[in-house]
Amino acid sequence: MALRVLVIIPAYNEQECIVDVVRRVVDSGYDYVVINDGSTDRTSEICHDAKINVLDLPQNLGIGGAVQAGHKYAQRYGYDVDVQFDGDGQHDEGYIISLVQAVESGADLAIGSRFMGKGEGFKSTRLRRVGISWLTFVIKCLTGKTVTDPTSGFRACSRRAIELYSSNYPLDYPEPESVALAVKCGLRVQDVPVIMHERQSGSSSIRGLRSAYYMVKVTLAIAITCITRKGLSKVRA
Amino acid sequence: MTPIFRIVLIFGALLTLMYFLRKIRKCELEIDDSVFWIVFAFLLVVIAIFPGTITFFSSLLGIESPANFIFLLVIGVLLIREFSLTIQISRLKSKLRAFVQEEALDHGEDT
Repeated sequence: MALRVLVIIPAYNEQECIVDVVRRVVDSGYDYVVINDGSTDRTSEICHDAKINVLDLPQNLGIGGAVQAGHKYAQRYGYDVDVQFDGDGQHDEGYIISLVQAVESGADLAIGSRFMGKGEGFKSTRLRRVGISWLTFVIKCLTGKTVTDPTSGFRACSRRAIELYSSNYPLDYPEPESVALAVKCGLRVQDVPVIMHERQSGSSSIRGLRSAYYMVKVTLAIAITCITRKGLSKVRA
Repeated sequence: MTPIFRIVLIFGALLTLMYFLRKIRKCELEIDDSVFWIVFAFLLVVIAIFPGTITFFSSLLGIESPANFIFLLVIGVLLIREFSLTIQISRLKSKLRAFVQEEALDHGEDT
């Protein structure tokens, strides 16, 4: 009984590499949908010209809103598993299968981690790694669960996670908060080792001084999530 | 600052905190939007427990009562918040207007 898998490709102004990213996913044999997050460049035209399956959001919602739209798409069309795969070329399509297998074996949220074992590949700048270690620590303190790469957008969700995230997904920098949310709602979260590449094009949405503000805000948001979800009943399977 | 004032401050801050956590639990408020108020309430509690800094700054500014300085601070913070919200609402209105018009134009093409 094969599970139906959907690869969600959120994209904001990725006109240079979106076609290449989609081709890599298609060559790996998966259904996909590109979520065009109100791009102001030619991402949308390029997708339509290449007959790519794209959902054009009329306004920019940010990565949180775009990914949530992808979860809603997966839910609407009855997919069993959805995989978030960034449209900037950082994720490696060869690892989609590992994430899907983790979900098949019972995980609700399988997170592709750059920091398990001694894999090669791009592991981000030192500053970012400090931030990531901090978030790992915060999540461990507040939920008891160790997640080695909480900012990783390369992740697979089971039906339970899709259902949770379709109605409940953080908007600003959602990756760490959504992990804490999943743990607090009783979902099974698992790390899977992957390799990531450097950005092919475009620019990161987290930059310089904003990083400090982001760290404080995300830490607070995770704390609030954990406090307010303490008594929440488990998500229906 | 009298001890009673400080207790009232702590009490008010904790009530604010509880109110917002309740709203979040009932999914009537997004966590990202509540961060400001959580920090605000927390700072009021800190001020009430450690009135030292307040006394220092109020005498520096020539304000007679530290309690008055707290009022000034809170009013200042609320005004800044008000400005920020006005800007956010303005942007939301533009976005909504653009979205409504595009939607109407798109449906016009279909029919």
